Amino acid sequence: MTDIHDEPAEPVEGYVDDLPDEPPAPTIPQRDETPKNDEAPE
Amino acid sequence: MTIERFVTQFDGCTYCSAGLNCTAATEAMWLYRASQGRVATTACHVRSLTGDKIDGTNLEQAQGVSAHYGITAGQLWRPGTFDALVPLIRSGRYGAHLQVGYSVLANTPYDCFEGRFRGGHDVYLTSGGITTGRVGDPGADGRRSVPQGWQDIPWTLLRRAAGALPLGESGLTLDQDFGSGHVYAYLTPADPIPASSEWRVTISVPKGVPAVALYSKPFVKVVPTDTDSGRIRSTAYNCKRTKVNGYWWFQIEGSGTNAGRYFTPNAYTKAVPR
Repeated sequence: MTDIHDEPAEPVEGYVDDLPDEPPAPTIPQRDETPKNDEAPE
Repeated sequence: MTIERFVTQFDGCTYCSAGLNCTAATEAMWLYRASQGRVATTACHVRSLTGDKIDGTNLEQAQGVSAHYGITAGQLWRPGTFDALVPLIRSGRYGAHLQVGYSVLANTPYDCFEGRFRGGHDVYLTSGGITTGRVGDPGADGRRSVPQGWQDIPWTLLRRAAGALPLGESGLTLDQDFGSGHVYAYLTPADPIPASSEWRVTISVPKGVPAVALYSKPFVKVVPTDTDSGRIRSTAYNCKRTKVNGYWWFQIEGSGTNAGRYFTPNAYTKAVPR
């Protein structure tokens, strides 16, 4: 006699396993180029 | 465990002024994560790979360096939203370049330039919690009174800094151009999830709560008998973790009564990688 699993499993801490394997692309219209960083003092 | 390696921009670079190399240093941190620790390089070397000695660099140039190492699955947001970025970082599976306006960070405890810098800067986000993001600011090399290495910076401050990013000589900021809550960011490909891995799992279930159910195989519960309840209330096992049909399963190792049986993680199981 078998019993079907009925207890919801929680993801192991540190991982969210239902996220896509590729980072999602933004849905906002995109600009051509990002700005160059400025020079910082040492 | 997050694969991370802090890289400073102040590495004695002679290719160009090290003060220009925050994006290059951040790309070195990004490459370490995206390559799962295989590419460990410096800001100066990244900068030399751009072939550009003039002024700062941008995320498109960082993307070109990633491609040099054969890493092309990163995602460039120009822009995306801060609210979309935070859960991805908190998931533990992604890192990101984050372009910021340093005017927001200047004179805070996180300032790596002693109040003398308010321009456009690039930092690396490696992970995050509920209220803070873990940041590698390439300026955080510990010189004088400057912070050293990774810093936990409130998300609220990072959000404001992202919005204060200057977009050009005019002084127009990302906030002013798009409205608040936007970011220019370059995300790593997702860290792979191992199909099976080894864990030490401690089970501790308080009285009054059903003990953890055991399964002879995923989704098939052990049938209780007079001498075997098919449940565990308090013990620790070495286990292998596997994902089956969208659920994580721990399979008990060793030679005891429950060896080979399975259970699923829940609030009363604490798992630590071995």
